[in-house]
Amino acid sequence: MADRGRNPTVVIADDDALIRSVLRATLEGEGFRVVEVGDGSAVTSAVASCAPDLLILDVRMPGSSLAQTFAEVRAGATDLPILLLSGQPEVPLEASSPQTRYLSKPVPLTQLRSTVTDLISRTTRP
Amino acid sequence: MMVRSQILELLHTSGIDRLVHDLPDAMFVFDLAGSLIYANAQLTARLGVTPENYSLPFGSLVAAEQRDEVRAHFAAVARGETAHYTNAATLPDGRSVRVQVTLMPLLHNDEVVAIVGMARDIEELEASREIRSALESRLESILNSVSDGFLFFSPDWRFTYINPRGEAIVQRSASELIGRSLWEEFPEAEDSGFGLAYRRAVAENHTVTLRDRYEPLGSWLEASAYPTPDGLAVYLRDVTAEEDSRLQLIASESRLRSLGALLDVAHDAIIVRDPHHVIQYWNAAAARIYGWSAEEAIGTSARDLLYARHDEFDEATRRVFADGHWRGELAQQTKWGDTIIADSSWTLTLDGQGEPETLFTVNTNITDRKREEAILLRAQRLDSLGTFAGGLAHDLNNVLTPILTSAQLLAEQEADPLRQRLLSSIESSALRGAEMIRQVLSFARAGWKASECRSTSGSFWLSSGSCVPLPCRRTSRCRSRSVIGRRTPSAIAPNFSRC
Repeated sequence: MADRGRNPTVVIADDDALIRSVLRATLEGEGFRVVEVGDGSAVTSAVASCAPDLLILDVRMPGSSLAQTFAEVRAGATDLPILLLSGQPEVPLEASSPQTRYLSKPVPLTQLRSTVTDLISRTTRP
Repeated sequence: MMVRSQILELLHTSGIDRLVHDLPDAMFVFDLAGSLIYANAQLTARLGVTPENYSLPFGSLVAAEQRDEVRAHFAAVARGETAHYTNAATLPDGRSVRVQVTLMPLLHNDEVVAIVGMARDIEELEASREIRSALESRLESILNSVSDGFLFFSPDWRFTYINPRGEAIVQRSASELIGRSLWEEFPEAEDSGFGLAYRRAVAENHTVTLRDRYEPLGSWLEASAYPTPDGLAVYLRDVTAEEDSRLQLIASESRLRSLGALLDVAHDAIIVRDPHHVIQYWNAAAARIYGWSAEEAIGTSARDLLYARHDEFDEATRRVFADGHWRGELAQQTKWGDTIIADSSWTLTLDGQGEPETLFTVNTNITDRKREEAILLRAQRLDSLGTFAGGLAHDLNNVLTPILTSAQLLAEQEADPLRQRLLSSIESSALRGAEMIRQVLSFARAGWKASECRSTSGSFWLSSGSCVPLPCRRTSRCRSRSVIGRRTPSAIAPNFSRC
C-alpha cells in the first residue's frame, strides 16, 4: 500500500526499454517515483518489494503470460490500480477487473496523464 | 341228283336264299353238274354274275390257270367235305380281284345235292392290313425317334408301350415294364402329383397336364395324360434343365432386385452406360442429384445430358478406353440448370470378345465440399493475414509509443516556435502512423466479419479463434452477425499469446 508521506510510486512493466524510458520521463515529470521491470517474471516481486501506487503493465511480456502475472499480482495486492497497455487494439479480459484500466499504444500524453492521475487518486483518496 | 328247280325249292323252303340275299359277301349255289343255280345280290353287284348269264366252266369267277384246282375243291365238296381257297376273279370292268372262297356241301337226306359257296373280296382287306401295318411301323418309328417320352397304359394301369425316350426318362427299359403295373413298378408315383393327375384324367375323361418334381428320379417332369378307349396315353417331358434354368433365373432376378435396392440406397449416383454413353441404369441417388428420373435418363446420352463442356468428358472417355478405368473431377449439369462438381470414377468392362461392353460410373457430388474447401482456404489466408497484421501492429505501436510520448513531452518544454512545429510534425506523424496501423488491422480483420448460416454442418474455428461459416444451402435460412471484431471482455476469451 502507498506510503502517504512520499511521492506515489509507479511500477512500469514493459519489455521495450524505450517505452519504459519515455514513460519514466513522463511520470517523473509529474512527481511520481518510477520502478522499471523488463521481464514478466519479475513483475510480482517488484510489486511486492516496492508496494507501488500503480502498476503500468504491458499485456505481452516475455517471462510470463498476462493471465499468470495478473493473477499473481492480484493475489498480493488486491486493490492495486493497474493500467494495461497493449500494442493491439483488442481489450484483454483482465481489463474488466476492478481497479484496472486499459489503453492502446501509442497513448497520447494527455490521456496517459489523466488515466494515471485518476487511478492514483483512488489509492491516495482518504 | 336233284334238278335245279328242286334245289331252288330247297333253298327257298329252308329260308337260306332270304338269309344270304343281302349279305356283304358274295353267296352262290352250284349244282353238282357245276351250273350256277343261285347268286345273291352282292355277287351280282360285284361280279355281274347271275344264274342266267353264267356260263361253264366257272365263267369269270375263276381264273383259267386256277380252274383245275377249283375243280378239285368242288369235287371234294361234292363228296361232303368243306373247302377253303383263294383265287382271282375278274370284275366286269376287267380288273382282277382276289377273293377268299369257302365251299360247303348242301345236304338233303344225308346226300350232297348242291354246293354252297361264299366269296369275300380280300383285295381291300389286305390293302387295309398293309396300310395299317405301314402306319403302325411309321408311328412306332416316330415315337421311337421323338425327343419326348410316350407311355401307354392299359385300363388296369399296365404298361403297354414306352418309347426309348420314355425309357430314358423313367430310367427303366421297355422289357422291364411292358405288361407290368405302373403302381407296382413305381410305387412312389401312386400318391404323387403324377399319380393323382393320371387317375383324374381317366376318371374325368379329359386331358390333365402337370409339371412337378419327381424325387425318386431326381427330375422335374411335365406329363400330359390323355385318356383313350384303350387306357391312358402319357406324353412325358424331362424339364429338369428348364426348371433349373428357371429357378436360377428367379434367383438371379432376386439377387438383381436386392442389388438394385442396394444401389438405390447408395448416396452416390451410380450410372451404367453402353460404350456409346447411352444410359442403361440410373439409381435413385442419380435421380436425387441430377433431377432426372430413371425413366427420363435411361436411353439418353450421358454426354449430352450431364455435360455442358465436352472436352473434360471426352478426355476421360479416351483414358477409360485406354486404361480400363478413370477417376477425376468433372463439372456436370443438373435438370435444374445448376452446375455441380462430381468426383467421378469410371470402369470399363469388356465382352467375351474383348470389346468394350459397359461403362460403370460412380459419381459423388462434392460441390459443397469444394465450396467449403475454398471458403476455408480463404479464411485461412485471412487468418494468416490477421495474425501478421496483429503482430506488425503491436511492434509498430511499440515503436510509435516512445516517438509520440517523447515528442509531446518535448513540445511542452519547448519555447522555440520552429522546434515546436517540428515536434508537432513528429507527433502528427506518429498519430497518423497509429491510425494507419488501426486501418490495416481493420482491413485485415474484415474477412473475419462474415455471415453465418444456420446449417447442420456448423462452422470452422481457426487457431486465432475466428469463426468461418460454411456456405449457404439452398433451403437454409441465413442470418448475418459479426463473429469477431473489437472484442468485448465479457464476450470473447483473450488470446494472450497474440497480444
